[in-house]
Amino acid sequence: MALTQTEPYRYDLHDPDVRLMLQVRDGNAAAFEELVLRYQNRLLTILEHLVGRRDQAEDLAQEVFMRVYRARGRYEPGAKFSTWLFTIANNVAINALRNRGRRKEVGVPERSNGSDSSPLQLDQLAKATSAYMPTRRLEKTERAEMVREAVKALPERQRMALLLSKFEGMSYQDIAQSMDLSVQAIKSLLSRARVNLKEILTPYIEQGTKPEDLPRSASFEEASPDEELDS
Amino acid sequence: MTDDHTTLTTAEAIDEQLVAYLDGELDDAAAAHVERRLADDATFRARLVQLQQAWDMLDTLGPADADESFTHSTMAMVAVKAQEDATAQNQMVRTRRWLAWAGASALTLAAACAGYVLVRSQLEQPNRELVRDLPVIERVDDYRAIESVEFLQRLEKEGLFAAEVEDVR
Repeated sequence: MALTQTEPYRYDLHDPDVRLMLQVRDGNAAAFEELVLRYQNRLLTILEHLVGRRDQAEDLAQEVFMRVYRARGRYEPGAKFSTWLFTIANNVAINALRNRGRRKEVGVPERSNGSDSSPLQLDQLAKATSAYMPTRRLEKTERAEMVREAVKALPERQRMALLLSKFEGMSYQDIAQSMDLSVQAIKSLLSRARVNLKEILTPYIEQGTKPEDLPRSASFEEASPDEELDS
Repeated sequence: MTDDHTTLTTAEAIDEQLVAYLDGELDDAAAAHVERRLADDATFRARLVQLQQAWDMLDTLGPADADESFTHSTMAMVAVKAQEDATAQNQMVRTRRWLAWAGASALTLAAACAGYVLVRSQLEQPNRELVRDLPVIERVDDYRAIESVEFLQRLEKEGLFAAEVEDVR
């Protein structure tokens, strides 16, 4: 008998990591270690570029693995394992970024130019890149540092969507599931992320130069109003 | 109704379409439309190149590499968590056993009390009946001499028992 369209997708048949997680659910510790080994680099890559600090990324990655372990008893495969894992990672990271943002509000005075939203700061970052005329070519490490700063300057949701797309090669559908947004919202979010990135990096790409002083990152500012998507 | 492919008028819509094209997220018809426009429109083409170049620069970031200590500390944390879970589970089992024992004891005690009260009540029932019937028992010989209740009531109306009624009062 042919399968019908309404039959649920069997992730356990198609995703070996789902099968490993089901073994974890059944109490297999070795299966959990295998999952950690398979995902630790991928998770750290996303989290390190998301929060901008290696030590915090490691703490968050361990928190994500702990949550996976705690959730083992009620695990039901309703998505690819990676999508489920990065859903947890997104929640953990966003909470951490917002906690950092709140702490920062207490201790750091307002910037003198009064700008308080990410897009404005992105504009300033882009203008600053155009205004300076440095004299030497970028070294590879400097280039990496500059790209890191550009990524940090993106609002957190744009950054997350961008990183999942770039480093995980996730489809819009999977990113939408991980970030609990609609596919159209992800399409819009990624478009703005890539345009913002282009605005910041184009001067470097075209001139191969780096400004002497980048404005402070907007990484941990509150999300701008234009990020409130209709999802 | 306008075709979705012919409404790429705003910069934002154009960027969305170009990014979706670069990400391979357009269907065949939409991708073909973008490709036709790329062939015809130098500005459109330049925009695509800029977006792609910025995207390619992300390659300089590279993947993170977890060292062995990270794996070990993660597994150690999980082992501690598993131990805590097991301890909590044992504690819960002990608590449940204690509650079950306490509940059974309380039920047994309650049943014993109820049984005692019931038995005592049953045992006292004949005595209560004797006390209640005592006035009749004391005069049972007199009552046997009476032919009927109506006859007795008639005598009472005639004042024959006035002294006894007065004593009772």
